[in-house]
Amino acid sequence: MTRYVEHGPTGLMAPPWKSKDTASWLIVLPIDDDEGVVDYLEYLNGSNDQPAVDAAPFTYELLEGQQYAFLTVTHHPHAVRTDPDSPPGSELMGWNRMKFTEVSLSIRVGRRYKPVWPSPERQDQVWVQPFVWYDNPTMVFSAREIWGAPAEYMRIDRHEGAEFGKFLHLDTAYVGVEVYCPFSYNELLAALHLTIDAGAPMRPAHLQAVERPLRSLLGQLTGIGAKSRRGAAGPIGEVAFEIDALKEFRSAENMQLAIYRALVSSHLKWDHAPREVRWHDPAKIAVDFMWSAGLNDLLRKFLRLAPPAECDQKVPAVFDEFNPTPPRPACHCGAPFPHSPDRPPPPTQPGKPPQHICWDLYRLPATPKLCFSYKADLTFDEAKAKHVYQLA
Amino acid sequence: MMMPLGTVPYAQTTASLEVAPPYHFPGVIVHGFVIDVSLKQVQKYYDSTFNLGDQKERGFVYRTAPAWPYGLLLFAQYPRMLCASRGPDLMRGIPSYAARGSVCQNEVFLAIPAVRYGTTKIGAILDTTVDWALPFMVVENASSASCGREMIGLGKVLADVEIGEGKAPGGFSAAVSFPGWKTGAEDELQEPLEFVRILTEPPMPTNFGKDPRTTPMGLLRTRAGSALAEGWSSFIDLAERASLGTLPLDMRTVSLKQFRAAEDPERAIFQSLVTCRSQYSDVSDFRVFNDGDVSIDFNTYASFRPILKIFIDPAKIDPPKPPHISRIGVTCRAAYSMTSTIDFDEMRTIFIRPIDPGPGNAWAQPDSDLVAAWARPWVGLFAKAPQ
Repeated sequence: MTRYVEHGPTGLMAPPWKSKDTASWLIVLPIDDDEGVVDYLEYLNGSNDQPAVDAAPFTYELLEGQQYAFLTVTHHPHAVRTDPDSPPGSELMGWNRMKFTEVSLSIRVGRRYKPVWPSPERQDQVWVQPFVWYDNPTMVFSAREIWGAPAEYMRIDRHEGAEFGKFLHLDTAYVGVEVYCPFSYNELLAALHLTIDAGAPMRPAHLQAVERPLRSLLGQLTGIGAKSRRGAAGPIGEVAFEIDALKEFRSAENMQLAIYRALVSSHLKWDHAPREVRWHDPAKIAVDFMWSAGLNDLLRKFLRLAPPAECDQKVPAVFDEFNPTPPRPACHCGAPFPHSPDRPPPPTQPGKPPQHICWDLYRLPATPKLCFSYKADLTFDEAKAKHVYQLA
Repeated sequence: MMMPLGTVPYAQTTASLEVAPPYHFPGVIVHGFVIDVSLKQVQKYYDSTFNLGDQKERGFVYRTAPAWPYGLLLFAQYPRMLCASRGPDLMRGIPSYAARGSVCQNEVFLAIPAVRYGTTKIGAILDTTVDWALPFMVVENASSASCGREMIGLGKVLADVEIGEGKAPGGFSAAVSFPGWKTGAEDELQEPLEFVRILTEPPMPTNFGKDPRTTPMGLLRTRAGSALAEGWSSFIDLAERASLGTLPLDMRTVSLKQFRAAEDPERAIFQSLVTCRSQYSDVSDFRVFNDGDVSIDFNTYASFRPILKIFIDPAKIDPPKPPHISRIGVTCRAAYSMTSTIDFDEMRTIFIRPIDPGPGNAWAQPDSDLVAAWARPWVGLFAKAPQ
């Protein structure tokens, strides 16, 4: 075994790790068109313009029926690595006790193994996450470099009073450019504005009103309504969901090539049944994605969210070439919005990244179908490379 | 599709925010501080980080420069960072990286010369060169951090860098903070902590601060100072070049690019040494600070100590008696500021370590490309032409 060379700044949150007393808000968004999922599966499978040298023994494929995207906000107040070989407080890998907030989009897909005698054809159901946002850089690096998640750093503001069981107002923003153009300059761009009412304790009727396939997915992803093999209550360690991701790193000389590419599977387990489950009326939830070029494909392909044509007004000519539906000027149509559409001025000090969130962007509301919130303890159990592409 | 040895196509998602090098950075404001480092500690770092495996198989060894017991703590303010790669105008219907716009950031790093000696007869001539190790590097842009870590192997940390004017107009102050742990106590959560604070008077000539005749201006007058002329950051040389304004300055960094196994994060699935060139040009507004006016203090919080031990004697970091958390000052030998254009390019994998990647993953190919930059044209001239 070749050991990873640990030095000063390399400490990460390595699995297995436990997160106690997490608070999650889960919003179900129907996917009306499969294009985004199909596109993402092609990315995982390495087809089209990104062929792999050798094929994995399995392919990812769309599951039949209605597709759903599960937008999840999870606040981890206390996560810690549990590997006994690296106790907390020890140097390097021991630095791993932290809090963070995570926003992710999860989609259920199939992982089909080709029949290889004597094994028959087999299909597993796994989750893929087109995006995972963290407000903690250690988690971003851990996710990207260990289990291969497409993690990005985001500023995530949970506004004052946003405690579990109360009204939630959450904003996310990232440093990027609104439109891809040689003249574009970075701003702290809003990405998601979310408000969820306090809700009410979930009653059995709330769950029974959910159609069976969706209820099953809910159980798999959150443990809500799921029964352990031992019974309805108590530990449900068997309930785990598997997240697959493409872990890859570029060659230093040619950035179009990878020196490592693998399909990695990781497991999350719910240590106990979710606690304090609350149901939220979808009509009292606002899910507003804010358009910018970096999020365009995620919004347009997965959620069919794109700037409306009527907002296509005066736009600098320089944007025309790259943006058939340019995003300016801002469109704050629809429900009242708590954020100012005034564009923050750029920082005056050279080099200083923008500090104020720009909300002068297209606002694209998504229509939620369901929303639950809950508290839970979970374990990020293990990650494993299911297939490592053999390099040429 | 024919692929170069040891590669497969990189699968690009349009959701990725990372921009691949090479880069072009115009108008960078640079503040450089030459500080004392412990060569013993630095050599330990080189041995564990660069001198991997067996020296005979490796064919080179990295050592410190004995006449140069200093590091360069450098603060760079990038008002505009541009991708300089050439490629198709559109990638999957999206403008190429170079056409997407620009970002800004502050960056702080410590650079220490790492002399690479070839250990074979020919290698002693052709492979010997001076690189710069960057054992500590922070940036303010998250994508920059991910790019540096994943593409080049630079251990960039996302940080907050507050830059000000110091004690008087024209001076310089900076504080660098990033997430860490104060004591390492069992129930302690990560929090933003200040790592280093730096403060200067205005650059010379100035009426503020110490009388320059009473301070050593150490580096410029020592024997080690003359050794500077052989390295990139020769301040005498730099000043001369700055006066010309057009001559480029080169700094070739070396870093360990390595990745963790998903199954066992303490196991490496890939290890290589990567060098890159930072070329400084159009240097202007070159100013020298009185080194006696510079104070540099590092905080010895628990999770910062492994970083500090790379270049500071551990006995100074871990006092035998409480308080265990304290500030530690380092001696500044020279300080300067300038504005420059920086080009970051010529990424090169000079060595791929043969590793055991685990069952079923026999994909890591040992490889090396050690020829020093100066010798490359000559080696290329006499090399066999590709078929």
